[in-house]
Amino acid sequence: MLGILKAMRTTLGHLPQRKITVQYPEQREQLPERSRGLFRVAIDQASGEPRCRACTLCETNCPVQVIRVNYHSTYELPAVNEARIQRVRGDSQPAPDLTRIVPVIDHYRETGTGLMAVLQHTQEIYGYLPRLALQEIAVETGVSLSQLYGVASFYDQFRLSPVGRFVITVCHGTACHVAGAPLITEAFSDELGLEVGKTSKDRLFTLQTVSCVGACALAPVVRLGDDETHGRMSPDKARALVNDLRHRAEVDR
Amino acid sequence: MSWDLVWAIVRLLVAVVIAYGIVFAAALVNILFERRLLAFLQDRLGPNRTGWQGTLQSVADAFKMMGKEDFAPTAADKAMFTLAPIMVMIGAVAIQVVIPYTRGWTDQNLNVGLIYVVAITSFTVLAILLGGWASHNKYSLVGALRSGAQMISYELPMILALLVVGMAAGSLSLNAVVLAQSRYQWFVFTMPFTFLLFFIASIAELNRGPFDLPESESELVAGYGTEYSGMRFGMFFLNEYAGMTIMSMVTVTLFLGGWQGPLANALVVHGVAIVPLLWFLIKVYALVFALIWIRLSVPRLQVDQLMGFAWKVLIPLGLVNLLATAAVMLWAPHWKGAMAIYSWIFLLAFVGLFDKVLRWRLERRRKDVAVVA
Repeated sequence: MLGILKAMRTTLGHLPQRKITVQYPEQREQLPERSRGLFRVAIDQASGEPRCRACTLCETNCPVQVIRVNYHSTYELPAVNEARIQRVRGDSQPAPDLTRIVPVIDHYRETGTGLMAVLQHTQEIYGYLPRLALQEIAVETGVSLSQLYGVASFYDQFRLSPVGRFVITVCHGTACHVAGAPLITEAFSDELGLEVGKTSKDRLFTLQTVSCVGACALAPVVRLGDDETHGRMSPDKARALVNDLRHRAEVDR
Repeated sequence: MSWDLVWAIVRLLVAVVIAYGIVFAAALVNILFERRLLAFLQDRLGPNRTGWQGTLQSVADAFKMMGKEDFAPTAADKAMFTLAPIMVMIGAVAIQVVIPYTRGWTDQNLNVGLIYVVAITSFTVLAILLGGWASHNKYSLVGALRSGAQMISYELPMILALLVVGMAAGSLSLNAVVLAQSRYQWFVFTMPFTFLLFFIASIAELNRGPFDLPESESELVAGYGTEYSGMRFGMFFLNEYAGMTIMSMVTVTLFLGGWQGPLANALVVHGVAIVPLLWFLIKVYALVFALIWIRLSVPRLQVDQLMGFAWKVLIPLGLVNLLATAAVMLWAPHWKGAMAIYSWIFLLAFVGLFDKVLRWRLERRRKDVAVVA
């Protein structure tokens, strides 16, 4: 009862207090100093062109990833940059022999279906999906490049960058994880100087992880390419395996 | 057909139109009053765009409500479903017959005015139960039964308070009740506990906070009004808000001296005193203010607490109060001070001991639980 009276006194005390409502169009709240409001593309008054060059730097750098750049640009890269970009692309992806996918695309034309099959065959031929091959497929099949990219990046089985001669796959399933798979991955990563999912500069090694290969009895398991399986691994064994593989490559050369 | 009959019918129609007009106007004013007052008590501004300071907001809302689709569920009992929102207004409209607005303005000075008030306010319960039943929806039905249980439960302490008023005034006529409070011997001063009893019960009768369980927006589906939309819902809604004014009118008449106040004879037009009418309205809106203020300040009860409060606290105390007041009046029939002293003591004891008794009971229950465990 007395509590109710106390509550009522409190609420009544708010009656004469200053109201916090801001009457928007008439009153404007003072924005914080660092507020930047809503971003808009500025149009260059002289040329009528947008000032934004769709470099996507803002998209890449945005810490909270709220920026998306959807652009259709007529802008051409300056010659110097273009040469540099071509060089970088050439380094990461050697020009593929496009004649090798002609039969695959012809098969697609005959049946009219099977985009996934086309991509799988292409990957069988090159070991990954080269940018130029994807462009060729887009032109020949009429499926847009962005859709192809969407499909290729959605499925884990497709690779968009070349793989090394030896693909080292470390199993990170429950059994392998418990048996020390993270340590083995770390050993490989350390020995090869590679992050997980990357390929070495000399295109000899690719290091990747997989959820489970289904050989828990051999945990922890490392697969080499599609043929070799090494069970009951340890960090020392992993380093030995890398040296062994390097040796094999020397002999082949 | 004699002219007398025609005249009677015309008078009846005019009276009904005026009564409905007062109810609607009161509801619209109250809605706006509540929205703005709640806003101010919460450091907001509330609706202030439609018309000067938002004065036309309720009107705009009413027109919006009329423009909405009038929808009835397929399984509903159509006749009853339509009847309920019509019936819900009866209480608010018909009660005006006996309200003494000012000196010389009471439509019918019934000698059983208090009983009439009790009888006519029950119509609202009936309409709510009807609406909930006719909706053919379990939420509506549960909400309606909850509401019905609440309103019937709280009618009892209300009647017990009314009986005390009737005893003190020596008459059941509302005019006599007002006149019994002349010379500032308002019943709120001479029997404050009875007033508190009546006021709490009337808040519960109005389904307002902290007793607004039947349609507690934040925890239930809309209660008995679940299936109602458009203007049919509007009728229930308007009744809720008109009820604030109507119930305040009754409370003012019974406890706050009705139209009594200074300068009662300053301005009299055709036998109707204007200044007392203003006093009446001021008192009514002071009570409406209190209703809104309480609604904002007090958290909602649980349903078991709600029923328990009526049956275990208010009704026994009401009975004790009735008997004690009667005893005091028998003991000192000519000394009104005795009743006042008794009632103030009762009120202070109630307010002071209520928390303590609650806490004591809680602790005892905890001990019992501990023993069992």
